[in-house]
Amino acid sequence: MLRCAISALRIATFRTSSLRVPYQNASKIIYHDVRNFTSLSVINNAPPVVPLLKENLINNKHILDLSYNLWPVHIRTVTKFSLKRGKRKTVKAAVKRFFRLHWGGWIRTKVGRHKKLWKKSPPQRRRLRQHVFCNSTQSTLLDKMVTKYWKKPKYYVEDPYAPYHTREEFYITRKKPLPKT
Amino acid sequence: MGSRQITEKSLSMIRSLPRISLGNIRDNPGSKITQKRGRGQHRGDKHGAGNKGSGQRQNYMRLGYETGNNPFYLRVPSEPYYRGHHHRRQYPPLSLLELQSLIDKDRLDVTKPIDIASIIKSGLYNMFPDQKQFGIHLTDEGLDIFAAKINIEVQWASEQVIAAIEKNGGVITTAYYDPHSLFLLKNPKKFFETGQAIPRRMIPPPDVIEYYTNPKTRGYLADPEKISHERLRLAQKYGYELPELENDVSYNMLIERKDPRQIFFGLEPGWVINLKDKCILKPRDEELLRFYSS
Repeated sequence: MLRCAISALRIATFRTSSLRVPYQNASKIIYHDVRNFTSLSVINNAPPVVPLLKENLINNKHILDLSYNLWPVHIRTVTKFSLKRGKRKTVKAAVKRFFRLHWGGWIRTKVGRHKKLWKKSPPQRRRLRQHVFCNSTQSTLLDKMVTKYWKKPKYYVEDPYAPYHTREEFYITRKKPLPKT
Repeated sequence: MGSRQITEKSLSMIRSLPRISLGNIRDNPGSKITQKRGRGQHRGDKHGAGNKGSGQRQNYMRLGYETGNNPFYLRVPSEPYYRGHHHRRQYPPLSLLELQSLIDKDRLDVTKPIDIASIIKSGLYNMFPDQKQFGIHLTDEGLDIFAAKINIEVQWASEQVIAAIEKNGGVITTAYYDPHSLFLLKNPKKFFETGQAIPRRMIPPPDVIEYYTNPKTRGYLADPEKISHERLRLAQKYGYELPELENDVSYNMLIERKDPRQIFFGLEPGWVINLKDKCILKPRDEELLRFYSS
């Protein structure tokens, strides 16, 4: 709120007189009441849990060491039903490497484009710099790996991929009718 | 009993029967046969799972797994195609061709200023502010056949589009709306029914403030004098004669603009629209007036 007010003032200073009136008492109008989470405070004030027995498995030093040194497990395959909501999840490894065009094609970079460039010829290095299409099987696989969010068209302005999102140039793939001449 | 009587009787029976609904609908008897796993010497042989190997063990491999190879979807080097996608603003496009067709079909009133609310109300354009969509991007398709004199306010437009509109004697403004204002513009009635006061429109975020203060892009925060200068420059660049606004019959309509804090045409921030009693409640408190005018 404060940031808005400050930036509004900044605008107001260089604009016309209708916006010149500064405003400092926004807090009087906007209702700021501290919420009281009664149930939480009750839980926090509850007596501590009775300490466990010494011979328990939870107090085993060896097991505790193991559990603290566990790394988070990276899952690269698709999750069909998440544990919390039971929803499908995206394979993050796929959206880090591939890009989906609006018409359903996927593009990717070339394999080995940073590797051993010193022994590759200039034409090969030029080809490695290019982005290429995935084939139909790969595109179907990638479509299964992502959720519908990634399949929705994204309308960015000044998008470098804008010419590739439609295929109006070819008579088989065009969607819109040809303009009447 | 004649056939007519039979027909009459069956029709009356049908009339007295309850109507078909989801509660009493069921399949025809015998239409569904559940497949059972066969047993015995011949029927229970392979149960359709094939002979030997992965198929017989019903070992469904995970998606993209290539039985030990480095999988294709992990082999390709990573590329930040989608970096920052959850922060980037989207502007769903509306082409000049579509705009012209909206005007030709009388879905848009050209005698009044056109803004995103009237374009959404035409029913052939939609946008979703909750999906990071920030309004209309007027695109150049059908630019040569566009022939309407309008006063339009969009959220993004290219130079050619601005030229196409100004060539026909029209006026274009690019204006920013925050997502909350866009929700109001998308469905004003839903908002008015809540009985809340119309809020102020927020100012643009830092990365687009330059776009909306630039007279070249006809930004709503730009100096009007500089805009008229740029109109002339654009006319010279594209080689058309700029129609004079001052001598126009619809001059008052063409110069109408919203205040940078205003969301709806004709309604000011702070007003409450009472749809039930069909009246507008305006604030009188000094402090409120100061708040909504800042």
